[in-house]
Amino acid sequence: MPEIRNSMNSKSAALAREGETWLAMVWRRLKKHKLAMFGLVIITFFSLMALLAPWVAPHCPHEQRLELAPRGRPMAPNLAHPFGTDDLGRDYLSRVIYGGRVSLAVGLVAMSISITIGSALGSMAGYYGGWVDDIICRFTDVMLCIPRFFLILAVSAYLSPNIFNVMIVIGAFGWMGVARLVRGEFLKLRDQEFVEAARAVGSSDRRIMIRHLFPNALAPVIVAATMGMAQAILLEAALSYLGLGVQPPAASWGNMLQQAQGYLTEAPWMSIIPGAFISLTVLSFNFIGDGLRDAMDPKLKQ
Amino acid sequence: MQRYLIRRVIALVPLVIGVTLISFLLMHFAPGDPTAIYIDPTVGDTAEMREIVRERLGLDQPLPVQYARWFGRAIQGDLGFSFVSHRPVIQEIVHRIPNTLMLVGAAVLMALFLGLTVGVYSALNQYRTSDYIVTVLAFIGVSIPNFWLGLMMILLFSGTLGWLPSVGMRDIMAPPGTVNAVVDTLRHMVMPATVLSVFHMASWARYQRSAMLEVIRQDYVRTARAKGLSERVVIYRHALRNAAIPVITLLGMSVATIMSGSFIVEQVFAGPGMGRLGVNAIFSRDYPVVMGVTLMSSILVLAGNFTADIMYAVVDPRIRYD
Repeated sequence: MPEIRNSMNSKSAALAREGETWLAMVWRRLKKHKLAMFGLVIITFFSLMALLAPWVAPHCPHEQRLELAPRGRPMAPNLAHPFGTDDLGRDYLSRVIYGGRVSLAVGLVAMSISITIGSALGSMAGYYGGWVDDIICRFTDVMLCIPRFFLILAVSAYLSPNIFNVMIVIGAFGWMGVARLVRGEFLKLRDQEFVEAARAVGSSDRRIMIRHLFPNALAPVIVAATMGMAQAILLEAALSYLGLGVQPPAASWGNMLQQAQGYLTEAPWMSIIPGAFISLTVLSFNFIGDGLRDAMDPKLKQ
Repeated sequence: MQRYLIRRVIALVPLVIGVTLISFLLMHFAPGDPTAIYIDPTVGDTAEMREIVRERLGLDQPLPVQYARWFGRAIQGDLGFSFVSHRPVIQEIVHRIPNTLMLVGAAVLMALFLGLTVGVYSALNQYRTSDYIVTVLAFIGVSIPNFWLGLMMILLFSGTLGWLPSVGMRDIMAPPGTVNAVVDTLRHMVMPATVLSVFHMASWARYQRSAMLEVIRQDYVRTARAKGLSERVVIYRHALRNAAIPVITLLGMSVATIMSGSFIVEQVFAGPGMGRLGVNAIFSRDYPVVMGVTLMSSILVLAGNFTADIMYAVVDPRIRYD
C-alpha cells in the first residue's frame, strides 16, 4: 500500500524503521502487546469456527431431537453433546457455532456502516467547516443525547426483525464517535502544506479528502473500528435478547440467551455458555483495539 | 460566571429542538394508521370517519405545522395519551422516573467510588501484578453484556445462594415507611445497581489510572514531595484532587450510556422504572409512550451533561468562564 505509507501521518510513520512499511511497523509493535495477541488468537479461532460452521458443527443447529429433551427438559452437557441440548433437543454446541456466525457478521457489517457514515460526515465537517460543520456537529450532539439503545430498540420495532435490519439499525446509530474523531483530525490537517499543494495542482475536494486527508486519520479510525465491533456485538446481543433482533429458529448468541432465560435455574449452562462466548469475543476486540492504539501511538516508543 | 451560564443555556436550544424533533418523527413515522384507535369498528369504519379524525387530530396539516403544534403542547407537559392505559403519557412517566433515578443514582455512586479507588490504587502500583490484575478486570468489566451479568447474578445470588430477591423494587410484606422497607428496597437494588455500574466502574477506573499517572509526574507534585510532605498528603491532597477533575467531564459524557443501560437492566430485574415502561411500550406498539420516554430520557441526559459542564467550570479554576 504505497499511498498509505507515503502520505501516512508523519508522526506515526516516524516510528517505522528503515525500509519498513507502516503496516509492518504496526504489526511489529502489536506483537509485543500480550493481551492484543490473546485477543487476536481468540478472534481468529472464532472467525474460522464461524466461516467453517457447516463442517465444524457436530450436528445441524435446527435438528430437533425431542427424545433427548424429554418433556422439554434440556439435556445437561455430556460427552456426546459437550454443551448439552436446549429444550427442543437441539445440540447446543452446534447452535453456539452457528450463533457465532450471526454475531460476528452483524458486528462486522454494523461496524462498517458506522465507520462509513462517521467518516463521511466527519470529513465533510472538518474539511468544509462553516455552516456544514455547524449542522453536522449539532446533529451529532443531538444523536449523542438520545439514549442510543432505546432509539435502536424503537426503530427496530418499526422494521421487520431480520438480520439485515439489525445490521443497518445498529450501524446507523453508531457513527457519532467516529464522526467527531475524523472531524478533529481533518481540522488539524486541512491547512497544512500538503493539502495546499494538492489543491494547487487542481485536485478536487473529494480527492483531497479521500486520498490525502483520510489516510492521515486512519490510525484512530482503525482503533475505533475495532472497539466498534465490540459495541455492535454487544448491541446485537441485547437486541436479540429482548426479541427484537435475530429471530428464531436462526441462532444468535443474544437470542439463545432469551430462550435460556426460562431455564435459568433448571439448565444454567444454557445461559452461561452463550454469554461467555459474547464476553470473550467482546473482550478480545477490546484487547486488540487497545493494542492497536498503543502500536500506532507515536508518543509510545518501545 | 453568569455570562458562562447564559452561553451554556443558549447552547442547549438547538439540542432541545433536535431531541424533540427526533422524538416527534419517531412517533410520526410509526407504522400503522394513527386514526385507527379513535374509530370504533362496530359503529362503522369509513373513509369519511377517518378523514374527520385526521382533521380533528391535525394530521392533515403539513409536517412543520404538526411539529410546531406538538412542540407547543409538549412544553406544557401534554404528551398525549397512552394507547394501552389511556392515561396521559406524562403521568405514566413522571410516576416512574423516581425509580429510574434511584437506580441510576445508586449505580453512579457505586461506579464513582469503586472506580476511582481502584484507578488510584492501580496507578500507585503501576506495572506491579496488582496493576495488571486490575487492568484485565477492567477490560472484562467493559466487555461483559450487562443483561447477562444480571442473569448470572440472579442465578448465583437468588438461585443458588438464595440471598437476594431477583425481581421488582419492593416486597409487599414490608410496609412503606419502616426500617424494614428501607432494607427491603436496598436488597432489591443491590443487583440491578451493581449490574448497571460495572461498565462505568471499569471504564472510570482505567481513566482514573491514566489521569493519576499523568498528575503524579507534574511539577507541583514533585514540589510537594520536595518540601517534605508525607506521601499520604501528597497523594490525597495534591495529586488526587487534580486527577479527579476530568472525571466530572467523564460523568457528563456517560449519562447517556447509563440511561441506555437502565433500559435493559430494568427489563432483566423487572424494575418498575421509566426504562421498563419504554421497552414494554415498544413491544405493545404504544407509540405516544415510546415518544414520551425518548423525549424524557434525552432531556435527563441533557440535564446531566449540563450539570457536569457547570460543575467542571466551578471545580477547576483553570477553566475560563468567558
